[in-house]
Amino acid sequence: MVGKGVKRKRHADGGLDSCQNLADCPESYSLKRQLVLNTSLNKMQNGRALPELSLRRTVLIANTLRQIQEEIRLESSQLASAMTLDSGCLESGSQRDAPPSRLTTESHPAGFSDGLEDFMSATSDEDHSLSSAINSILRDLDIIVDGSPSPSNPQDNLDMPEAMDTMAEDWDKEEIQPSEPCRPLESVFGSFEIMSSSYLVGVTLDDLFLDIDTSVCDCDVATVGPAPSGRTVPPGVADDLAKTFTSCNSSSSLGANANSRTDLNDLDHIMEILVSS
Amino acid sequence: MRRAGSCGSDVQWCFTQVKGTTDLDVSEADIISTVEFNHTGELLATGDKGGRVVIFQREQETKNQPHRQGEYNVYSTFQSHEPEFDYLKSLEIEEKINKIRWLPQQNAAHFLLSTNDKTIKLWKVSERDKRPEGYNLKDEEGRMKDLSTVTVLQVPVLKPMDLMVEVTPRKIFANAHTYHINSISVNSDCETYMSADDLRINLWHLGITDRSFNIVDIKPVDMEELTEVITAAEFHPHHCNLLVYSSSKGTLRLCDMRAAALCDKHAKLFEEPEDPSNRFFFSEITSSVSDVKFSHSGRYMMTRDYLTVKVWDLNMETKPIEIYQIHDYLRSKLCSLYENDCIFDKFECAWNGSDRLLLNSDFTIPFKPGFPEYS
Repeated sequence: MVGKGVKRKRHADGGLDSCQNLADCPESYSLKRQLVLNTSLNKMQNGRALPELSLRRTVLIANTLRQIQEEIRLESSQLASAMTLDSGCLESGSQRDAPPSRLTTESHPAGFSDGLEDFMSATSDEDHSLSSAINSILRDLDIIVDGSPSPSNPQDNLDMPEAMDTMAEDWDKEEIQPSEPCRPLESVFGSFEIMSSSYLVGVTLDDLFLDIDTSVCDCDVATVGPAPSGRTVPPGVADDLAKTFTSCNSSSSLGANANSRTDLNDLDHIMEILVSS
Repeated sequence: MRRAGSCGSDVQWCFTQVKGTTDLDVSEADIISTVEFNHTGELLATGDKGGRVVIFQREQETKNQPHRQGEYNVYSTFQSHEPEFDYLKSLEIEEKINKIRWLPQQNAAHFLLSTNDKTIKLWKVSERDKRPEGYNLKDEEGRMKDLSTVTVLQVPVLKPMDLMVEVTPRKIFANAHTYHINSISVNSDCETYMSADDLRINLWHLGITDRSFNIVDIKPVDMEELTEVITAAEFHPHHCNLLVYSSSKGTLRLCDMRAAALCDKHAKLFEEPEDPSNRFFFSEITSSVSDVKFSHSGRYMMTRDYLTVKVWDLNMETKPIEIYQIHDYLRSKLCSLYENDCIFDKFECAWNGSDRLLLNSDFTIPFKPGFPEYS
């Protein structure tokens, strides 16, 4: 994405632009939906890399994803119920109500009959595309949540509604599950807060550094680092910082060389962890 | 742009001036992010991504060319906001000016509010075209005089000097917003103003910087349930208790501050019912309101979303009284616009002085004639 105000050019090839006018494309409705779904998921994942973070944009993309997910869930539950009734009815073209929330990528009145015909004529294709959609959503949820366990990919069509329900729960997190809670949206939305520095109020830095042996640390007060601006760090924290390092200076004394070397290694290791986190 | 004719609805538009550079290669910091006239139209303030504000002043009409409306020349330039760095979140707070609002003029000086994502500043713009001369204790360079040479007392006099425009920061309103500020609006009482971010609206007094009152808060307890954000907000031009804010779902909420301290319950909700047969993947995104403006009369509101401009009557909440399609040809290309993020662009709108014309910003030439005058 290019910054605002800069002239933008449409991509010459690739992606959704390969079929500019989607009304002319022969792909089925579910494929169009899959394209939008993939694009939305990519945007959610890449959102943090953008120079200009926008909560509005993220919320709109999340809502679009929810819409599509809800529609897929509805369709799969209808599909599952239809299949349990009589699998032969599908081929004979029995009437079924189209989901009321049929969506299109263009804003002309949705072609329900078109969608239904596609649905009827390519049921097996539909199943495969549905399961692939589910798999891609689950995989991408894993990426967002960073390693939370994903539900096993369903092989049987009958298992799909259950998998969709699990996925629905993943999106509408209202209970904290016993295993690691999966709250992808909260972490994304939470990253937009410009937090004031009340975070460190009440925490003394001495507590944080108790396990570090400061006696071998030849600290220099001048290396505290760039002074935070007056607005972000309350005076109490700055005082604590100064106290920690002055006490460090006054008590600096070298113990046995061997001990100090291992302690220095430990200190380096700890600093590496702190800096990289 | 200026009007060539002023007779009735026969309005002609033409370009008068282009300010800035027409080069294609523009540095990021020079990109203009907001524009605002003052109430008389004499001054035009622009804010850019580099945190600077440039004020243009319309030159006086001369007797030689009375038909010319007057061109705008640079009046003053100042650095309003600097980039900040939030060390806790390792995020840079942009210095880009999001909005500028002029205060109604009450004396010779002009006051304006400018805001970036986090901090609002009140600036005083004043002219100095005279300076005192003839001090008794100091000489012309300001050095103290040898008192033994002073034999006669004189009264300092004001002598004309080259016009100097001074811009000084008077107030800084900081640390009240957790999310990015998108709107500011000065109240008709000329004492208070509001600032709105994605989830909250705060009420300030222009003279008090260390506290503000939260009047709207739509943040859900569980952020996972967040589905709607505030996109714009404005005070009513005459009733100091009324304000309107728009949302990303295309709704407008009119709030009355007399009802409660926290205006969570709207007095009126303006929402056009969605046509279920005309829903599409991006119907919510294109319905997100990017700007809302009251008419000068105070009876109407205008909203701008991605594809339309709508005019609402405050007395009718069920649907707008006018809808103008801005670029209908884009409806078939929404998928591409979604992919390259153009669908998230925000546009502004404005009423002209007599509420007879609607103006809106766009990436094509804007012009939409307004509706007949209402008394």
